[in-house]
Order: sequence, then structure tokens, then C-alpha cells
Amino acid sequence: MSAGGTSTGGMSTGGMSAAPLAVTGLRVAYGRRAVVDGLDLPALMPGTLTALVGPNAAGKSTLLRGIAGLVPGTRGRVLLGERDLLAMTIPERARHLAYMPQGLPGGVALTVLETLVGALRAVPTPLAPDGAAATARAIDVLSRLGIEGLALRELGALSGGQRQLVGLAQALSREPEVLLLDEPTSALDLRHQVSVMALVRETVTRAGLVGIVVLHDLALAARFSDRLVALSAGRVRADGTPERTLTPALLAEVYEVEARVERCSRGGLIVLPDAPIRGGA
Amino acid sequence: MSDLAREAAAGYRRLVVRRAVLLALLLAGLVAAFLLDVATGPARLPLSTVMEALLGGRGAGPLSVIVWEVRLPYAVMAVLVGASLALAGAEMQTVLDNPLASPFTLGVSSAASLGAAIAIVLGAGIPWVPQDWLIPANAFVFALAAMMLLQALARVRGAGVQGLVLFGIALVFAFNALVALIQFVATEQALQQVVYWSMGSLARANWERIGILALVMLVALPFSARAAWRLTALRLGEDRARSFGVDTAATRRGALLRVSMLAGVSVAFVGTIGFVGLVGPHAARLMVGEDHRFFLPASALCGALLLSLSSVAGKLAVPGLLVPIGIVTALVGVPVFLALIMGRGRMA
Repeated sequence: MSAGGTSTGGMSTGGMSAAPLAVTGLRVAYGRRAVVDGLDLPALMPGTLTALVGPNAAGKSTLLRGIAGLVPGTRGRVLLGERDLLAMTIPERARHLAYMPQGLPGGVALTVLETLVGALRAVPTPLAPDGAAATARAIDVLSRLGIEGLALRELGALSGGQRQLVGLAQALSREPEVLLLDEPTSALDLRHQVSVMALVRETVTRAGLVGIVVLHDLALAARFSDRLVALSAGRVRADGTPERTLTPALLAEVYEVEARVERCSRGGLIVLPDAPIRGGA
Repeated sequence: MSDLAREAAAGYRRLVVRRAVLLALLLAGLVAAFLLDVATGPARLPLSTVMEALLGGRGAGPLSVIVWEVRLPYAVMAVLVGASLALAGAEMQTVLDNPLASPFTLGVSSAASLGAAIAIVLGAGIPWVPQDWLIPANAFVFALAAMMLLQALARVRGAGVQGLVLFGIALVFAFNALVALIQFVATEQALQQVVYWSMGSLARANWERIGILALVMLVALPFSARAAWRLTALRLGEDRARSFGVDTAATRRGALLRVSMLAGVSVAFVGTIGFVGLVGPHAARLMVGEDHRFFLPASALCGALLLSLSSVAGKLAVPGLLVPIGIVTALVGVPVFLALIMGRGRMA
């Protein structure tokens, strides 16, 4: 991965003072079925990465989409500093927050660069006042992620890892203050899992973003995040540093497994699941 | 900037130029096809004579009548209808995220047929509409109503894009059944008329209708152009587009409104011409990709070109007989389309 420091400068928050994100009383429902109800997430600080973990159907992706304002009828508040993101219009919200869903559609006849220019010009933004500025910014973001060589490749011709990076580039190109990533490492091999997460980690720290990432892999979550939020059945079961939250008791409660949490030779946390707990909690 | 970045920037500029050149080539092809269309007909007039009559303006002579009252309206109508249907198809495929979406496959054409059949067989229509406008007016109202039904469903919470497509297909079956029912009770003469109407024909073209369709296009095009970036973003998925700041629901509503106007008026004037709305966008996609700044005009040009060529083929296929354009379009379009897919294989 190449470092930043290109002509248009590094990732910044667009001159806005970095503000913490707080979720209060969030209710996200599909139809009448509330997946998340009355959920609070206090003070997610700029420059920190929070991992959302939990078993299948815990409501992780739904919570992320709810925070991103993508589910109609979502109630509660998502405060960035003083401002409620959910009360904003879609274009307004897009100036503060970027959301990356799982996977990028493959069967689209667009090149990588076209998707980035498209992301920047979808609605007018001061970041890309004209076509030339949009193209320059798009190439700059690709360079920072070290994938400028893919710029003219068609989306369908990319590998899974490359596609994740392109999706990430799209999200980063708009210089958000809040970055929401839904399983950026799904379907990636070990090397790409580590490199994508390292990149996310680095960007969040350097640009002072509020980063929230849904992860399945607890080891990755423990290694790259500052804060770990464990969800099950739409409720927060634990919230704190990975060291504090990742315990056998939590794994038993949330994942219904008997597991050990041990330290590797370099001091990192590793989770060793031993057996499912029968009958459930 | 690194070398790779510079290369990317240069490559992108080349790509944009190439696409603009392709658009220009399509336009040149369309002009050629249009002139060929005007020059072809049962009265074997040399191209130079036709050009003279064209440049000489509307006169009273028999030559001028043939060129100005018969050939030119047909040829202009072919271009306008082809462009309208293909543009409608392109926007539909994007906002419904479905490569099979087109005015034909999602009920607009069937609804228009039903409206026309009701006017022809039952003589029922909108009050105070002059007799010779009864059929197109009815067809348009039904086409519009079908799209409004689709729109209404889009607003129902929880009905996704896939639901919309399925609903459109259900509409096709429902309207076709109703048309069959009307045909079943129709007199022999009315039945013949309904069947002929549904084949699609440029013989119903006249300057008045051309004026109306041109006006609809003129109104719709700036909105399509303005939506181009939003539509490109929508190709990357609903959630992603919204995260880029696109109000996807409003974009979809706007596109479907344009689709209903373009397709409704076209179908009302020339009857069912199915293939062009489906294939025009696909041909365009193979040529210029899906940056909608190029994709939308390329779709319109491909549709216009296809219908223009079909119009020529319809006149030449059986000497002395004008084969309905709806039939020719599919017969001409399928081989062209297959050749495109085999040749490029990009989408395969």
C-alpha cells in the first residue's frame, strides 16, 4: 500500500471540527418487525474504530443501515456533535457519513474510475466542483489505497479483494466524518483481510473519522478496533475495549459457545471456540 | 502524481473521447439510415430526386406529396419512436435494476393495446376526444395508468424493486387476457383492426403526432440528462447510491414518469413495437458502458437506428407490401443483437 502525501493532500474532515457520534433510542424496523429497539451507543470518538460483532441475525447490519439512515421509518437520534444525522435530507447526510454495504455489484459495465467519479458527482459536492476535479480526486483516493493501477478495469473483472478496496475508495472519496463498513473482509483471503483492515484502521486514525465496522472475525475485531460492541437479538450485550469485553462469559452469552480467550505470543487476543452450549442461554 | 496515476488520468480521458466518438458514429449512422428510409418506397425515386424534393420544401407536386406527406413522416416517426422507446427502456433497466425491464415487458405496451382494443371494439373512450384521436388517446391513458399503478406500488413500503418487476409482469398477463377477451367478443372487422393495431405500424404517422411526440421528448430529455449521474450511481446499488447522497426513491419516480410519457405516447401512435425498448439499451451498454452521460444518448440513438433500419427493411422485404414495423423490428433486431453479444461478449 502506498502512503498518502499526494498533491491534493491527505484525508481530512473537510475543515469541520471532529465531533463524536452518539446513538440514542434507535429503533430500526423492517415493516412491523423491529430488529433494533431502544438502542444506545454513547460517544463514539473521532479517530477511533468500533467493531460491531455478534452472531448471525443479531442485527449488526440492520443497526449499521439504521445509523446510515437507509431504513425508512427509523426512529431515535444519531447525533454527530449537536446535529441529528437522521433529521437531515439524504444529500445533506451524505456530506457527513459514508456507508459501504457488503459487496459491490459485479455485472455492471463501469470501470473503477467511472464508479468513483460517479460517486463524487452523483449529487453536487464542493469536493468536486467539476469533472476535472472529480477525476483528480478519484485518482488520488485510488492512489492512496494503492489501487490506481485498477482505475480503467471493469468492475466485473475485479477479484473480491479488489472490489472491497474499490468500495472503500468510493466511501472515502467523499471525505466523510463517519465511516460505516458492513463486513469489509467477507469473502477475502487472509492477506486481503489484514491489508483492508490495516488500511481502514490507518485512514480512521489519520483523518480523525468515527469508524464503525461490522465484523464476523473476532480476532480481526480485537486486533484492529479500539472499541468492541457485541450485539445479540438487537441489544448491546457488551461495549468497551476488546480486552475488557472479549471474555468467555460474553462468548457464552452472545454466541452460545464454550470458548477460551487467550493471548498469542505477541500479546494479541485469540478466541478458541470449544463447543456449542446445548439448550442455549 | 505517480506514473500509474498519470496513466489512469490519461486513460480515462481517452475513454471519454472514445465514447464521444462512438456517439458521433451512431449519430452519423442514424442520419444515413434516415436518408435511406426517406429514399426507399414503392415509388422508385432516385436519391437525388428525393433530396431535391426535401431541400425544395413542401410543394404541391406529386413528388413533394410523396416525400413530405408519406415518406418523411414515416421516417421521422421511426427515429422518434425508436429513440423514445430505447431511452425509456434504458432508464427502466437502471431504476428497476433489471436487464429484462422495458416498456414492453412491464405492461406499458399491453396496457396501450388494451386501451386501443377498447376504443376499436367497444367504441368507448375519453369523452370529447375527436374520432381519429380516440384510439391513440385511449392507448395513452391506459399506458399511463399502468405506469401509475407500478408507481403506486413502488410507494408501498416494503415492496422492493423485484416486487415492482414481478408486478409489471403480472400486469402484462392481466392486460393480455383482457385484450383476448375483447377480441373474443369482437366482430370480425373489429378483430382485424385490433390485430393490425397491435402489430405496430408507422403508417399512422402524421405531422401532428410527430409534433406531440417531439414535444414529449423535448420535455423529457433535459430531465434525463440531469438525472444521468444519479442513475449511474444507482447502478452501484440502492444503499450505496443513497450513501452518495442520491434520493433513490425520487430518482426512480422521476425516471418512471419519463418512461410512462415517452413509451405511452410512442405506443399510442404506432402500436406495439416491443423489441427496441429492450435491445436498444443493451446494444448501447455493449458499446459505451453504463456511464449514463453516454449510455442514455447511446440507447436513444441505437433505438432510433434500429427502428430506422427496420423501416427500410419493412419496405424492401416484400415488394409492394409494407410489412408492419413491429414484426420487422424483432426480425432485424435479433440477429443484430446476437452479433453484438457474440462479437463483444463483454456482458456474458
